[in-house]
Formats: sequence, C-alpha cells, structure tokens
Amino acid sequence: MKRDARSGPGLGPGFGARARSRAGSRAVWLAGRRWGRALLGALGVCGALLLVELVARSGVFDDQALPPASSVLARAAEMAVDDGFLGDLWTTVSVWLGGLGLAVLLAVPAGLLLGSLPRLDTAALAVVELARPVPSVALIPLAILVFVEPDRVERSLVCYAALWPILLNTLYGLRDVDPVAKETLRSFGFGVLGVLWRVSLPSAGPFVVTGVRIAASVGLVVVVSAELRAGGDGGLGVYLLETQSGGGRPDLMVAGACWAGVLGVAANAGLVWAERRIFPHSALSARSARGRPFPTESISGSAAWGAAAPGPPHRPERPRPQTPDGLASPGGLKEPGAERS
Amino acid sequence: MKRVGLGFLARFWLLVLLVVAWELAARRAGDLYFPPPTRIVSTMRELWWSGRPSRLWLSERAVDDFVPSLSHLLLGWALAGIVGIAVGVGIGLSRIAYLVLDPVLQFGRAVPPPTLIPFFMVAFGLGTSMQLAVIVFGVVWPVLLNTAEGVRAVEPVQLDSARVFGLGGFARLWYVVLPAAGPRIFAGLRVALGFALILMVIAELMGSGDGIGSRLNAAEREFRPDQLWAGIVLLGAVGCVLNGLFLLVERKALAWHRGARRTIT
Amino acid sequence: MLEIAGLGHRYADGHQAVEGVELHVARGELVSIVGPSGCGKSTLLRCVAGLQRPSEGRIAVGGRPVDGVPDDLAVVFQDYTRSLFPWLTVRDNVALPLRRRGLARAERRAQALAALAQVGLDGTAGKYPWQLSGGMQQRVALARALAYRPALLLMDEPFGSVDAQTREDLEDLLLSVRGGTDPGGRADDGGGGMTILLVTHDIDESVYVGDRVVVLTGAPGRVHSELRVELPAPRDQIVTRGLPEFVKLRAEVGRAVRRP
Repeated sequence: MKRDARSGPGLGPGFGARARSRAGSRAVWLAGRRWGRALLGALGVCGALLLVELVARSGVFDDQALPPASSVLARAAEMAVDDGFLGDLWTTVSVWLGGLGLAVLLAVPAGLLLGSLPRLDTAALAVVELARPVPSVALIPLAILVFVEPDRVERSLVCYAALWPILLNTLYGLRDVDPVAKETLRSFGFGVLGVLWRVSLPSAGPFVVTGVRIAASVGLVVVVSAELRAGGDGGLGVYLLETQSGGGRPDLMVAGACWAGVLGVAANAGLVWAERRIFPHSALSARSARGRPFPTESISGSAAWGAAAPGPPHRPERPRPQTPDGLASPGGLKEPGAERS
Repeated sequence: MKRVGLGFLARFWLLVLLVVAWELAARRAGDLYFPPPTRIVSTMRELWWSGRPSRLWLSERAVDDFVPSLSHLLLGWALAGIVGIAVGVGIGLSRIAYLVLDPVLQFGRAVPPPTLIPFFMVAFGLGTSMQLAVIVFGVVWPVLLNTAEGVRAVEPVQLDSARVFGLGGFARLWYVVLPAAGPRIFAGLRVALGFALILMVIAELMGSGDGIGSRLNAAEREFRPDQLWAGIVLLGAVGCVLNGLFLLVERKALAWHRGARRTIT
Repeated sequence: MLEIAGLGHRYADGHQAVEGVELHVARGELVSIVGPSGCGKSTLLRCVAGLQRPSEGRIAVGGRPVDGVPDDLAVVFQDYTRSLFPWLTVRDNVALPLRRRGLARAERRAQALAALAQVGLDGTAGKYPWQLSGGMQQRVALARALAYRPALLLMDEPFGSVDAQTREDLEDLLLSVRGGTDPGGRADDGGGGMTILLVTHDIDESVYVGDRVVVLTGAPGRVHSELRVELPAPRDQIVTRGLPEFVKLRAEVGRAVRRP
C-alpha cells in the first residue's frame, strides 16, 4: 500500500492538516526517510533539553527543584569517567544481572515442568496469578530482617521479582505450542523429553525471552528500590541517597537517574536484538521490533489482551506474551495512511 | 453446581495444598520470620479489622493507614491518566510529533522511577507531593505510549467515514478516535494501576509518616515479622481488588471490543 | 450536480494516479465508473469526497468547488467492517452523522430507524454491526448514507466484499431506494432524486445499475469512453440481464476495459 503524504492518521482538515506550513511539509518529506526520522528524533531530544534548560534558567522554579539540562549533562559526562560512580553503577548492574540470571535458571525449568504436566499447569497459573499482585518492593523490609546483608537482600528481591514474569510467560508459551506438531513428533516415536526439546522449547522461546525482557526492567526498578531502602556499601541507589543526604545536588541526582535510564534502554535493546537473533522467524520478534517493556509486575496479571485468556489449543490467533504495557499489538502496528486504488 | 466445584478444585487445589503445607511447616518449625498463614490473618485482624461493625470493622489504625495510601495511589494514577491520555492523543494524531518525541519518551520511560526519589525528596520535601510526583512520573508512560499507539492504529477508513459524514474535529475525537483507541488506553491504564501500587509502596517506605508503607517501616523497626507479612498480604489484596474493579469497568466499557474480536477471529 | 474538469492527482511519491479526467454528472443520475484495479478509481472518488486534494484540476459539487468534504455528500465504502463503528449500535451508527444536520436526539433516532426500515433492517437497531452478516452490515452502511439524505452519494465498490447472491440483492436494493428517496426536501435541492456515483470493477454491475457507464483505464487513470445505458425500468436481475441490449452493452464495456 503506497501512502499519501498525509501526516499520519491525523484527524484531517480541521485539525491542522489544512493549514500546514512549509516547515510541516518538509517534516513530512523527512519522515519518509530513515535518516530523516533519526533527524526528527534528534530534534526532539535537543528541543526537550532546550526546554528544560530554559525553564530551569527562567527562575520559575528554584534551582533545587529543576536543574538546568546543561549542568545535568555535564555531571553525567563527568560521572562517566568517575571511578566512584562507575563502581556504584557496576555494583548495581552485577546485582541486577545476577538476580536476573538466577531467576531465569529457576523459572524456566519450573515453567517447563509445570507447563508440561497437564493437571498442574492450570493450578500453577492460579498460584502465580495470586502471588503476582504482591508488589515486590513491599518485601524489602522483610528481606532486610531475614537476610540482613544488603547485598543478599537486593539479590534475592531482584530474583523474586524477576521470577514471575518469566514463569508466567513460559507457562503461556507452552500453552501456545501447536498440538499437531507435538502429535506428529510423538508419532515418530520421540519421547516426552524429545518433544519438549524439539517442539515445545523452540516454540515457547520467544515468550520466554519476552518474559526476561519484562523481568529485566522490573528487576532494575527493584534493585534500585532495594538499594535506596536497604543501603549497603555500593550501588546506584546508595550513591543517589548519599548525594541527597550530603546536601542534595539535584543535577547529580538527575544525572544518576539518567544513567539508570541508559541501563534500561541498553538492556531492552540487547534483549530485543537477542530475541530477533535467536528466533528470527517468530512473528513475535517482528512485532516486538520496537520492544517496549515496562516494569509492571504486580497487578498487571492480565496485561496483554491475548495472553489474558488462553483459550482452547486450536485458537486461530496466537496468544501474545505478557507484555507489560499491553503494547503487543496483533500483527504489528500498521501505518495508517490514505489508501488509493 | 458440581461442575463449578470441580472447576474450582482443578484451578485451586495446588494453592490450597501450598497454604496448608506452609501452615503445617511453619507451625512445626516455629520460625519467627515465617509465621503460619493463620497467624498472619489474625495479625491482620488485630491491626486493621478490630473496629466496630458500624465502621465495617475497620480499626482506627486501618483508617490511618489505608486512607493516605489509597488516596495517593488513586490521585497519582488519575493525574497520570489524564496527562497520559491527553498527551498521547496529541502525539498519536501527528506522525511528525510522534517521530520527534519518540526518543525522548522512550528514554523517559526507561528511567526507573525510584531513582528519582532522592531528587524528588530534595525538590518536594518528604510528604504527599513527593509521593505523588513519584507515582505520576512513573505511571504516566504506559498510559501515554499506549494511547499514542492506539490512536495511531485507528482505522483510516473509520476516520474517512467520520469526515465524509461531516463530523468536526472534536466530534471525530470523541466519537471515533477515543473509542477506537479505547482498548489500548484501557490496557495502559491497567498497567499503570499496578505500577502505581509499587511506586506508592516504595515512596512510603522511603519516607512518610503515614500509610501502609510506613506501617511496614514501623514493623521492621519493632522487629515484628508477622506484621510485615500482614502488610505484604494486605498489599497483595489491594492489588487484586484494584485490578478486579478495573477489569469490571473495562469489561463494561469495552464490551463491544470483546464481542467484535470474538466474531472476527 | 457534479463537475470534474482536468482532474489529475500525483502522490507524494511521484505516482500519477489519475490524469485529465473530465466528468459531468446531472442531478438524479446514477453513473457507474468501471475500470481495472489500479486505474485510479478510488483516488478519483476520494478527490470528489474532499478527502484528498487533487494536485490539478477542478471539482465542483452542486456548483460549489470542493474544498474539504462537501456538506451534502455521503460515501459507502467497500470495507464495511472498517467503515462502521463497532462500538456503536446499528442505530447509533446510522444516527451519528445526523448530528451535523442539527437534529434533536429523538429526531435523529427516528430518522435512523426509518432509514433502517428502508433497507429492510427493522429489528436490528439495538444490535452491534459485528453481530450482523456482511450483507447486512453493508445495508447498515447504506442506511447510514440514506439517513444523511445527501444530494450526492459516492459508492466505492460497495458490493465488492459480499457473496454473489447478496450482491444482487444489494444492487436491487440500491435501485429501489434510489427512486424512493427525495433528498431531504432540502430547499436548494430543487427536487429530483439522489445523484449517485458508483465505482466498481464489475462490468455487469456497472451496466445493470447505471444510467451511464464511464470506463476508466489506467495507469494513470483516464476516462476512456462513456456509454449511455438505455435499459427499461424497473430492472430485474433475470429479465434485464437477458436483454440483448444488456449483453451488447456489457460486451462494449468489457472491450473498453480490456483495451490497453
């Protein structure tokens, strides 16, 4: 479908399309090109920075409330070569990845086991759905009492929080396996394990990776929360808290938060890349090209429409993995535009 | 009736089994940190449901704990919802605005909201405004991005129909764009609700004089694991109830969507 | 009623969809536009509907040049599943456009029900479009257009997505409602029925329903020829299609469409 040069779905005339300026039509032209889109995005970033800078300098808020963008950027750049901060960042990353890895090692086999036993998986889902709404940050004080050592507190909480999305997606993924493929393999004399290895695992794989992606962003939220509350000798949360108690340089704190954002973006990009790399043919990979995880956990028990109600095995439509913000759109987003014959 | 009973059993037998096993194991071990479920329930009653029947058995303390927590949670969620839908619609309607703002939004969403708590503590001080700021900043993203995607995915033919039949800009927005994006907007709001609960808890843990989170802090200071467990179970129940209520509203509002999906597929 | 002069449209990507189209449609006439796919039929229709601004040429509806969607124009799209609003009941779908007519709510509903009765859909008002069959949904779309009482009705392959039997029923329905509608008794209309421009790729259909057939050839789309259809009214699926004139016209249109 070729597109007319309208600017997106727009409401059409009456919503600005009629009175489009020259700059507007140039922007439309840019939007049709890959480098043009990158340029527009860069413009947006610069614009946002400029806006923050101007508002901060205008003196509407005092400078404690809103540090200018330039000083935040300068601090962030300084931090990138500051060994103290890098050490803290590394502590956070290692706890985060460690907890995440442990969760994968626990949740995937557990999911495979529970999901392959017919009577167990419904019952297991009920348990998981009930345990999930408990916000994992609520466990922080208990974990502090039980584990005492901040490092262990953080690691165990990350692991706990990451467990649910991975387990749930594995269970849903196994429900999605094509029964015909399983029957076929079984008829060729493959045993239960053979079927699991050759059909179930590859077909549930994209779900598992999506689960890990969600778990990664949940884990980042939890590890920082735990560091903020439990303290310890290092970590991003500890760094931020020390900055805050030591007089409170807002530019330093915002710069630290920005680095956490970079971690989040990087982790997501890495996992999306891995997902496409490992499962290149999966419709899910194509769909999640833009991968939008969002730390949700908790209540979003039935976040994605598709996955919320796994139906009978012969559904015409694949269930989608539990994407946190429900952004798993069926078959990808279409680019709306004017149609022509 | 029998059917229902069997279905219930098939779904919940493991849960019941686990709770019973926990009860027995905890009683036998007598571990202070892991009280049996019955003990947790009795602690919950003692803490929050020992009031007079005329007040739904809620104790004074329950009112002190629930009201600030829930009001912050719902207020922050509602604010984020309004802002997210408004901005999301604006961004979704314009391809250019979407392209320009996308990187900024993606980054904003990737920042773990708790990392901003120290900053908000300095900027707003401890208290309600800090907690609201954390919740609003954290949960605005799923609403905003879902709304924008939903609006972008509105059928062009539907918009054309509306234009051809003379619906003006705001009528198109109200009668076509918002309902068409409705499923996505609701999905975003539901995720946001769950996330608001997490952020409410962490904001209260970090510093506030009241709310369920501060009750957890007190229990930790007084070394009362049973009260901690009670708080955890309570928060889980709050999450379930909020989600359930939201689903009820969503089902009502999006009845057409469920029906339409069922017939098409 | 409709004047198209020197219409051409080139898309932003450089594709020339239509070029030098001239067309005059008198009040009350039903003109079929037929052509192979990709000949710019839909582009032409979108330009007339004011959904798209043509890059060259002039279009006037009822003497007024088209700038934005004309006031008394309605469209029936091919894709009924997408042009009807699934979140509204059938009645509300039909009644929604009447807001523009400045009618009270009760009046809008009454008109919607009347239009539904006209297309033989009594009793479905409270249902949702997706609860109806494809043919019935397209009837709803037609009822929506009729209730709006347009002076000019555009139909973009309206019966392209339904089965053959339903298609014939809908064609007859179109012919019957066409006679029976006086567009709104609006003062500036000066009587006469609704003017209809129907785009189709079905040659039989174009001849069967049309007073005149305009053959478009692509690409870019141009008017290849025009034929007047002098078939007796009332038309009948069996009798009319068996007439020698019908067969002759159909062959002529067919030759024109296939000519490179």
